Amino acid sequence: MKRILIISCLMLSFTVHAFCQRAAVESAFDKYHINRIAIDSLTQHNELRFNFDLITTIVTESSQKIYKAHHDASKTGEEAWALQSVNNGNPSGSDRSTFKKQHDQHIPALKPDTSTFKLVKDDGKELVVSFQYDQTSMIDDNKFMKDCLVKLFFDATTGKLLRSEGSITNSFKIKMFKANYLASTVIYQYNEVIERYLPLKEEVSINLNILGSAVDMITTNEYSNYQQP
Amino acid sequence: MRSLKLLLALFLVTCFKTVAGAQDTTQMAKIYFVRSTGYEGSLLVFHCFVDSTLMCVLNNDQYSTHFVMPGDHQLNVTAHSKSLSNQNKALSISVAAGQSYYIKIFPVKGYDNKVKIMSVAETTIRPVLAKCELKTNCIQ
Repeated sequence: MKRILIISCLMLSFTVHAFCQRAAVESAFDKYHINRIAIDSLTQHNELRFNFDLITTIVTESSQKIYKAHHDASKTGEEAWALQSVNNGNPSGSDRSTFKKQHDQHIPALKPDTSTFKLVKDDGKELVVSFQYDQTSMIDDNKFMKDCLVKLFFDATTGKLLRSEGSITNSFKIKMFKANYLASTVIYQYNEVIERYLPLKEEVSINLNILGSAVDMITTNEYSNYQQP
Repeated sequence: MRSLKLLLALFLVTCFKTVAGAQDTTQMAKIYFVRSTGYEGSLLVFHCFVDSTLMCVLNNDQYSTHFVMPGDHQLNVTAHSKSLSNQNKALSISVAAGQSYYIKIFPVKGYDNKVKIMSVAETTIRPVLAKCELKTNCIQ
């Protein structure tokens, strides 16, 4: 009986603690006039509502591929993407197929789990908030993101989001590969017309275990020339 | 008494120099060269250059830090050469005061021992730095 009481008290204290943390984050969002709807829609690919140019660079120890492409928002599905070059040459059939696979995946957007919100820093100049994704919003392909800790960095003077950082520090499985860690950074620009954040640069680094060797793979996406269709 | 004054003057000059030096770096940008992988047995050293000047010689799992003036710089890493004949394969970066820039070195395994370098985000380099050692006595 005593044990049940202790466990109940502990669970209650954790719940209260999580609630307080979330309340602190929401209070900070209000204090700095942060557009909460824009933050909640960060993972919803708002950039796909625009025409833009994209340069994707994938670097490993043995190779480097640079894909240059254009996105046309007036078209739908795979028609919206035009792969222009790979390593400054004409794309091969295999390049087109790889590119198509990367951009034609219909993985649902991940949602932040509000109960994991934490206020990391608030010094009047910079606001940093952390959270984890809601596991109910995941599918098998992105289940590994359950251990990802995301941090959002805001300029407290403007209330605008500057960048987000994500990290998985434990080993995890991504499809058929075992990975040792993952780290990512996204730099954003606020679009006043649609009142949403658009990515300017994304960098994802994964350390994979391939045939017993640890291999770094770094992928960067650089977005430019955003225009409304 | 005179020697005491001299000693005091020397002490003050040293303090001033230290403080002045510390102030200088705040107006500069910090560049990290990071080498986490490479050839077996660390037989091959990599030479890191900023604007054609040799800044550091790195072995496997080592990194070095260098302060540079804000502005445009040409970065290069070679496997063999201790000097640069041209900047054909240089990485051009524009740096700002007070900021850090992380240059990851990728050795391309093959007969010609090519090296490629890439400016990466702090999140990318953080786990790599954790397993590397800072090289302070650079030109050795």
